Parts: sequence; C-alpha cells; structure tokens
Amino acid sequence: MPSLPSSRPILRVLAIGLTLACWAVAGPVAAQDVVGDQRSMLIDINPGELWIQRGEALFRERRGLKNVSLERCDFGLGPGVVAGAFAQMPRYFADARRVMDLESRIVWCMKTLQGFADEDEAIRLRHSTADREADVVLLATYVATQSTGMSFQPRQDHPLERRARDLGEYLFHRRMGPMDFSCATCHGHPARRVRLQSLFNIQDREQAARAASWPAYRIGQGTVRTAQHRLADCFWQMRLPELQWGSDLSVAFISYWTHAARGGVIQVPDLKR
Amino acid sequence: MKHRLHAIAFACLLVALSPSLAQGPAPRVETTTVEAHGEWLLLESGGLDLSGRTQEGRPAKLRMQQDEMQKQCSRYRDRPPPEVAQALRERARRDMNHPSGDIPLGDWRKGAELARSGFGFRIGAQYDDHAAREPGGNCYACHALSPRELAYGSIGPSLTGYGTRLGDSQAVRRFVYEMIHDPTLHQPCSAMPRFGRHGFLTREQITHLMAYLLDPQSPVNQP
Ligand code: HEC
Ligand code: HEC
Repeated sequence: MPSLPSSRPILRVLAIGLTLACWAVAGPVAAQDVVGDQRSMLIDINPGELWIQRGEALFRERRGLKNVSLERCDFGLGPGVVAGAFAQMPRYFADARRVMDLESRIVWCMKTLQGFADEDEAIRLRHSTADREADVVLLATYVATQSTGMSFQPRQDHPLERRARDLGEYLFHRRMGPMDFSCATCHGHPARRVRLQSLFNIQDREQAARAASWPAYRIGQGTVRTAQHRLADCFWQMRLPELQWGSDLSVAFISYWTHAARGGVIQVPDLKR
Repeated sequence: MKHRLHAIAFACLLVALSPSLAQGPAPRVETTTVEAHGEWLLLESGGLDLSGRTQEGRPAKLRMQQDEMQKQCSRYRDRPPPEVAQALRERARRDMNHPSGDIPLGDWRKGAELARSGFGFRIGAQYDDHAAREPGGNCYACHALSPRELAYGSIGPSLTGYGTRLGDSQAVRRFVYEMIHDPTLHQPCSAMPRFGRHGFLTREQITHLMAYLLDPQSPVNQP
C-alpha cells in the first residue's frame, strides 16, 4: 500500500462518519425523490467541503521536478486567477491549441509548470482509490469551488469552442453499442428514472446545471468524483469501450452539457447519490 | 508456423486498433462536417480503447460501428419520418429469425433474476466476467414489474400484472418474444435494447423472462 499523506485518512474517516450519520437520520427510503431527500438531509454537512481546503493546500504547495506551485497556472483568465475561471470552462487554450475542461487543464499545468511526467503517481491517478485520493480530484474541487454560486458561461468565441459543443451534441444523440443507447435515451426526456435514480434532462437548464456541477461528493461511493469520472461511468453502463480520460472526445461531451447549463447556477462541490 | 502467423496478425490488429495512435491529424474545422468530425473522434482519435477485450470476442471497435437502425434513429433523434420508420420495421422483420412452432414459457424464477440483474457485457477496467455470472436483462431499470419491487425505472411502461392483463396465448407470447428480441419490430426507434438481436440474452433466457411476465404464478401477476 502506498504511504498516505497524513491528512487524508482522517479526511476519509470523517467523511464516512458523516455519511453514515446522515444515512441514519435519513431513515428508510421511499420510491419518490430519494435523491432530493438525501440531498436536503445532507445540505448542511456536505463531506465534499473537506476536499476544498486540502485541494487549496495542494494547489499552493511547491511540487514536481521544478518545485513550483500551481499558483501561476492559467485557467483562461490569466496566470493565477482561479475566481470565476471554472465558470467559463471548457475553453480554448492557445498554448495547448485545444479546448480543455478543468481536469485536463490542471494536468496540463502539472506537466508544463511543475514538471510532472505521465508516469508520476501525481497525475497517473485520475480517480481516487480506496488507498489514495487523486491529486487531480482535490485540485479540481478547489478550483471549481472558486466559481460556486456563479452561473455557467462556457466560452463560445473560438471556432474550436463552438465545434466542441456541436460535436458533443452530435455524439449525445448517437445511438450505439450493444444496448442501442444514446445519452439522450436516458438524458433527453423529462422525468425519466433508471431504477430509483432520477435522470437529468439536457433540455432543462436547471437540471443541466446540476448535472454539470462537478466535482461532487458521491454518497454511494463515499468520495468525491469528477465530471470525467461520471462520463466514463455512463460509457461503461452503455457497454462502450473505455473512454480515455481528458480526450477531445470526453471534452466534447462535457462542453455540450455545460452549454446546456448556460446561465444555471454552479453548485460545487455538489452532493450526489 | 500457422500459430506464428496468427500471432503476427493479432499483433498487427492490436497496433491498428491501438488507442494511443490517433490516425492522422485532427480534422480541420473549416472543411469537416460535425458528423464526420464526430465519427473521427469516436473511431480514430484515440479517445476510446478500441482494442480492449470484449465478451463476444470481437474487437471493441465493432461496438462503436452503427447498424442501420442506430444510424437512422440517431439522424432523426428517435423520431423517424413514416417512410424511414416503415423501412426500419421491414428490415428488422427480415432479420428476425423466429423460433419455429409454439414458443414455450421458461422458469419465472430464473426470469425474476434476469429482470433484476444489470450484469453483463460491460468492458474496460471493470470487466464483466461471464464465466462467473450470466448477463441479465436489467428490465427493472426501465419497467415496474413485481408490485413488491419498488426500485423500478420509468423509461418503459409498467409491466405489473402483464400476464393478468394480456392472458397467455401464442399470439401474446410471440409479441413478448419479439419485444425482448428486437422491440424495433414494433417501435422503430425504441429506447429498449434489442436484447436478442445483439446476442445480449439467449433464446432460453428470453423464455424465462417471458414466464416472469406471463406465468400466472409469477410475482408480476400476483397482487
Ligand atoms: C441507461 C441510462 C443512461 C445512459 C444511456 C447515460 N446515462 Fe448518464 N446517468 C445515468 C444515471 C443512472 C446517472 C446517475 C443519476 C443519479 O444518480 O442521480 C447518470 C448521470 C449522469 C450525469 C450526472 C448527472 C447529475 O445530476 O449529476 C451526467 C453529466 C451524465 N449522466 C452524462 C451522460 C452522458 C454524456 C451520456 C452519454 C455518453 C450518458 N450520461 C448516458 C444513466 C445514463
Ligand atoms: C432502457 C429501457 C428499457 C429496458 C432496459 C427494457 N425495456 Fe422494455 N420497454 C421499454 C420501452 C420504452 C417500451 C415501450 C415501447 C417502445 O417504445 O419500444 C418497452 C416495452 C416493453 C414491452 C411491451 C409492453 C407493451 O406495450 O405491451 C415488453 C413486454 C417489455 N418492454 C419487456 C421488457 C423486458 C422483459 C425487459 C428486460 C429484459 C425490458 N423490457 C427492458 C424500455 C426498456
């Protein structure tokens, strides 16, 4: 087992404790609006909040080959500006010559500014495991929360920003795989449910804003997850080949749902089932 | 020798399908349609692990290639004009390989298990091992069935009391068989997967699910 930075197990124990406590309070679940109930029960004690501080500390820490912090990372509003940056992502970055979502941008800065390489644990681990919180998740939580309460305003000035959105729309409606699903099968209609899980409808701005609000503490998984993780999860459920983290393909989907959320409120870290 | 040739062919296949090798530069926005660009992203950009293993033993890439139903239904966003809908129905009918003679009902208990299970055919890091467990139909994801199971989805209509409502004639059995095998025989851009046609469920499994829906003893038909 890899050695854990000291604050992390404590964080997890706390989070699990809180979740259990909340489950106990929530009591037996009814068929209707379970998610809503869970959310309102937990509204004052979202364990995801615990990721913010830790993420900020990591953001400010001098790390990597070059031993610098991420405080000079440009999220589109200039080096070091994090307030409101997430609200305008995904966006085109001239240095990378591509449209990037928040997570891809963080990894970009970890490589170019801090000198991390693909093999380094710090960026190789994109999703948290039972043994270790992924740095990217902590960092994304910190940066995204600097836009909490603002509205989604993804950029659409550059042709590639518009193209990423259009590609996402095309792909969202593409039926494929051994289950014949498109994303719209589950997320293109009002009031659909899979088992007890309510499905967001891409045509409803408020629902799309909730759906675009990542990172989020996932109650069922007991940890914070990101947009890339959610997307890969839906791909897996659709029985499709494994989605590559941070690919242009993944960014197209994220662009599309973020554009659908335009004007809706950013609520990160969200609390999801 | 033969083995070696196989090994080489396989290696070439792996290279050809390798996700890290994007085939050629990204399309230019000015000269490429969104559709063509989207297909490139899926099949050539390296955004998916197209060489991953699958339970059916064919390259994962084949899962991304659309058949006629998937193409047309994507194009019309599941609302095909009447002539396209008719053509899709006819095509599905042509491809339908009906069981000959009367269709038997299987065991509703096995059907109940299959209706609950969402296991099967998932690939990637968390790979479903069919040797450990058989794939299920996950009907509860979309349908209400037994009145005692509250965790049901709402994408499809409620099937509670289905057998009580429709009875159990050969005509009903044929319809239910067809719906599970390929619902597009009746509803061209159905949200329901074509379980039989894709080989997701076997014929025998379908008869178990039919029993779950139609057998008077099944919980689906109990109060
Ligand atoms: C078979 C149904 C199904 C399909 C198809 C599907 N999803 Fe999902 N999706 C779900 C479920 C279930 C959830 C979790 C809902 C919950 O727990 O509240 C979800 C959640 C999401 C969320 C987060 C919603 C939120 O409120 O936090 C996003 C974003 C999403 N899906 C995007 C997609 C995209 C993009 C595709 C196509 C690549 C897709 N989904 C395909 C079932 C599906
Ligand atoms: C992704 C959602 C989904 C899943 C999973 C699903 N269905 Fe369906 N099903 C539907 C929809 C939607 C309809 C309505 C007809 C249509 O649009 O094709 C339907 C219709 C039906 C009907 C016809 C009902 C009638 O009108 O008489 C039967 C029977 C049926 N489904 C059985 C099943 C069984 C058995 C399973 C599991 C093997 C299953 N379904 C899984 C979505 C689903």
